[in-house]
Amino acid sequence: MAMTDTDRETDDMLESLFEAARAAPEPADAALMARVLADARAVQAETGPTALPRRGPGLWAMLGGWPAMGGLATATVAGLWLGFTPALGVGTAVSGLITASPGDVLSLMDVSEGFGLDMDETGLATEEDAG
Amino acid sequence: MQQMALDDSGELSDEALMVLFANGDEAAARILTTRLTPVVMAHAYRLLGDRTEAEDIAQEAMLRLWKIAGDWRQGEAKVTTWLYRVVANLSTDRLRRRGRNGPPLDEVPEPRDEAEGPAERMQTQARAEALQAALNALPERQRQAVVLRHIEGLGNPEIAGIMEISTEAVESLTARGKRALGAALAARREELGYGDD
Repeated sequence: MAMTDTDRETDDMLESLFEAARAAPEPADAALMARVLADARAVQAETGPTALPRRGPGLWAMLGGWPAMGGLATATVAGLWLGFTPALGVGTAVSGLITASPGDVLSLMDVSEGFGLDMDETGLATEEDAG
Repeated sequence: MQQMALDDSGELSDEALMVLFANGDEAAARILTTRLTPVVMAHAYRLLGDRTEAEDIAQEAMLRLWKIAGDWRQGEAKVTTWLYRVVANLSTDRLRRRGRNGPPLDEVPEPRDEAEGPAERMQTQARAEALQAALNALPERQRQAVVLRHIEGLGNPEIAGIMEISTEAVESLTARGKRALGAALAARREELGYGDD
């Protein structure tokens, strides 16, 4: 359908009116913005954090949270303390192991018995023999 | 958590801000409010032609957005698409309640261009009133399609998504709407200062 001059003029007028409307959108005033923001804060206060879906209880919760961490911290500090404390009250032979030279340690072991590892008694050795 | 860096958040998409909002982030609430309320308000006004009613609809649409934030699914729809649809539905309800009578013309606000002289200002206002009156006279779906296409400047596929119709139906609605607007305004061309073109 051919466009007449009148159609074109009307089209140009409409485009001009649309352009003016685009350039001057009806503004949202400060009072409206304040109401919208107040609604937003009310909804946040009401619902709390919900957006991030939790898959399972989470590592922190599985560890028992802060109460469990209290016990764990106590045990860790106690272990550290024991690790640094000289072997008071520990048997003389074991105490000697801690402080003796490498040569002394070897002298406390009976190497001739192979540390109790007799190859003939292992299942692996038996299977190889059978093969 | 509430003090998200504003420099970074300015770059965030509406959809990302929705996640932060649902996680209790106050800055996200503020940015979404300042970014989206003007969009919602302008659109509601174009559909209703009444400032007070448009403000009610804008607030209600934003409230619905806040409430759905926790269930918002990333990648499914743009936040603005969802909002345009909610505004249209709320406006339709409002129009049905008040009947088909448009608002009085004195509801059309004063033009806001301070640089204009009195004569220019009167003509700008007359044009704005004439366009809004012609929009008010259109059937609702035609009005919505024309406003989204020619004033909000959206493409046909996005309008189709908002109105939940095919792009062909969008083209048909905008063409018929624009023809009806032209027919309503052609006789006022000279009065609106277009006669000498």
